[in-house]
Amino acid sequence: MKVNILKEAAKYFVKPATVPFPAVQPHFPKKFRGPPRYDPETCIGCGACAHVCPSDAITVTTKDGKKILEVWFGKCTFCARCEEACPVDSIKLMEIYSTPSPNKFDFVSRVEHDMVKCRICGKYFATVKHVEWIIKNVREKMGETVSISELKNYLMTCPECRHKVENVPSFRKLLMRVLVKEVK
Amino acid sequence: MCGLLCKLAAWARKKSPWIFHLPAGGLCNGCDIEIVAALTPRYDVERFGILLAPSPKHADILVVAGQVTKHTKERLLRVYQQVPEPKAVVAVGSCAISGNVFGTENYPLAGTVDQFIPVDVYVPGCPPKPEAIILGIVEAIKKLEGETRKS
Repeated sequence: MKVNILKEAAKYFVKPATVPFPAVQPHFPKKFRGPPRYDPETCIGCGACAHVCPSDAITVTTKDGKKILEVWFGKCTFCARCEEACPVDSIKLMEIYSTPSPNKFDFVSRVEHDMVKCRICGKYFATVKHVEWIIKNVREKMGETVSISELKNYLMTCPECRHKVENVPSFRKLLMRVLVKEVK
Repeated sequence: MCGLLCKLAAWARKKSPWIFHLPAGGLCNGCDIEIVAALTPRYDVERFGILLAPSPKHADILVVAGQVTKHTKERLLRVYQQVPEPKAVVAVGSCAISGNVFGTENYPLAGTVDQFIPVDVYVPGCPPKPEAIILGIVEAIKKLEGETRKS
């Protein structure tokens, strides 16, 4: 520790302490947290990042069958909770310094997703990529216990319709099978 | 109108803008420390002619950090009025831009900086890197230059 300090101090006898900033890129320490950015290819639009954001910098808006996730790092605390919460590591705090701008709404990274309609009531409720991701994961864990069509049937139904009396029996069969498999 | 003298003043303003640093209240002082870090020999903004002015009356650029509290609102307006024309305002940090975690409906807070005075450049970050602050001030100099040309 003390050797490091001495080394740092000895450096200034050799070369100037000033960094020639605009000419060279600035130094970023380890685990530096810069402005968050979405990767639109891997993002599934689950909204976990918006759920954990302490300063409400990430907003989720649904409009005309599109789900838009938007992070405005003019309001961000750079705490990296979103990075921790993301199940697919899509949102990342980049190793860059944020460039100033005369418009405060320039500091935005956004990603747009298509949504799925509920097959019963026709309401938009989840993103296509999210449903695909769940199906992929369930198939990996459960194998052939659940067929894809059955799973799609379940996931294409919105939470309100799932709880309606006439729809419950068929879903219960599916869920019980999944539960039994998990217990084994 | 004043010809050569005005041109000289404009040239001097461009080559050596003086900044006044004002923490506007609702902040954790992280941005203040970064602003001060930008003035240290490591970044050495004096090689660009940027100097920290002791009084707003001597300053060209007002560097505001943090959200405006009810207590500092009046002071902010007074300091802004004391800066001679042409002037530029740089808002540093997330708090100055939007309120950050403190929000906008907190009881001691009056609002963000741009609700009270016109802001020219925003520097995002919590806190921003000194490099970003330097770039923000450079952007403000460009704005000052444009304003003198107009007049």
